[in-house]
Amino acid sequence: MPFFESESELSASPRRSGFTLVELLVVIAIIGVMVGLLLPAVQAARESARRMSCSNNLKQLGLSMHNYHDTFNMFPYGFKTEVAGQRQRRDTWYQRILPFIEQGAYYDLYNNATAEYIHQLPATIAGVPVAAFMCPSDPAGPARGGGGSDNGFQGNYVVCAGGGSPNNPILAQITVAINMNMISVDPGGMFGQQTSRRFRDAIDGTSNTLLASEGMIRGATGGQWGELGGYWGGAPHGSFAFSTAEAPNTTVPDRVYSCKSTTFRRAPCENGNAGGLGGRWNFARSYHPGGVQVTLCDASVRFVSSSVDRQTWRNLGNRDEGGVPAEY
Amino acid sequence: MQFAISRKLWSLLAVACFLSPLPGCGSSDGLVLVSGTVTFDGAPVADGTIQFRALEGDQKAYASSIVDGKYEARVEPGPAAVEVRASRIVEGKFDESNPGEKTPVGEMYIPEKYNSRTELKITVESDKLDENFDLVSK
Repeated sequence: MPFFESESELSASPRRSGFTLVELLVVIAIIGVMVGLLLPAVQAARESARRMSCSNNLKQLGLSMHNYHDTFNMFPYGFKTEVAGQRQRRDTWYQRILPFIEQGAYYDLYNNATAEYIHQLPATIAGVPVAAFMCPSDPAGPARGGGGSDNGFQGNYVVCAGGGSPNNPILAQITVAINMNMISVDPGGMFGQQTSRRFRDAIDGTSNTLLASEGMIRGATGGQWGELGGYWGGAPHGSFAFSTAEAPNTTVPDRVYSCKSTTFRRAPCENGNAGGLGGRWNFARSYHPGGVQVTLCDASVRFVSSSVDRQTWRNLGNRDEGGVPAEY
Repeated sequence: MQFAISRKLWSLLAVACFLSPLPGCGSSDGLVLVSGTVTFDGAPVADGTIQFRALEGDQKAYASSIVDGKYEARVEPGPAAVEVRASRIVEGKFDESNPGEKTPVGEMYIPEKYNSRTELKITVESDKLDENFDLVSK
């Protein structure tokens, strides 16, 4: 009993040890500041991991193109010219490089199937998502569409068609409308209709010419023709490639045969056919903050800022622009 | 004395907490909001695109959709060429480039002088700008 008495006496003393309100508030404020600093950092770390995975995909794409070139002594065509009576019409570079990106069995499955047009192939063949062609930052993946229906797989990566040919007379009027059509004319890049270009065609140098980039998918489904990455049937409507006529993540709309959405906030699009608008193009876009990742013809991967000088970006897309490449 | 220091520290921290989110505020891209209306022969353009191409520097273009005659674009300051496009479906005209599909075709009805051979030019000032465009067919 005396022990307890002394205890209660001690706690009643005015000089007890403890924290004042101000000290507690200071500690809480410091914790608050640190959490405030940490939380965005955690979010940024997640996006940084996705971007790294995405850049790896672009690197694999570059290497597979090199392996294709080693085998056939040229790059694959952007897409194949349609010839009546032929099977697998509208075949693109995507199907061509499957064996070189460790999808040999899938390529055999595709090659042994027969269809007049590749978008008529069953979803068990055309709809197979290939992880190496999906950017983890894009929430739409695994997406389908771009080839008339939701039958075929739609990916994030496309090859470079160019930035508007320097030989095109309209180009002199660069401030108005340069010809950035990617179909049936040559806008100056490495890939187009029935092209068979080689390393030697990259006259500016393989380190100064774009091979591929990433783009945005406007929703996981929605069919339509020509949306970027619609490898199964949309190629003649623009899906096989991107144009460097406008800087990455531009507010200028993509123009394809028909859009999955014309109100997609980050990637505007206009209907080429229903709008009676000539020319077909897609622009490089991404969810990575500040720019897009690209593969150059030497298979190196770089990050290009959205605020890149537009003329430098156009020159990067063109294989024979001449001049000293500017820093970017 | 000790209390005085704590209070000073506390007020400093309060200021720091208040200021810390500020670097994230405000746009650093230097673009200016331009908004207004677009009419064609007196009627608002229902559905279209407006584009501002900078005439200086690297000649980037900035676009916005036109909905019910209104647009709102973020544009680089300086002189810019303006292009307006709007379309409508043409009755009885179809495209059959895709096997087994008959799709209605449209036409772009805004004259060339407002798009591919534009004569419209504005100068974008460095603060918010209202700019209305009244286009005519003749």
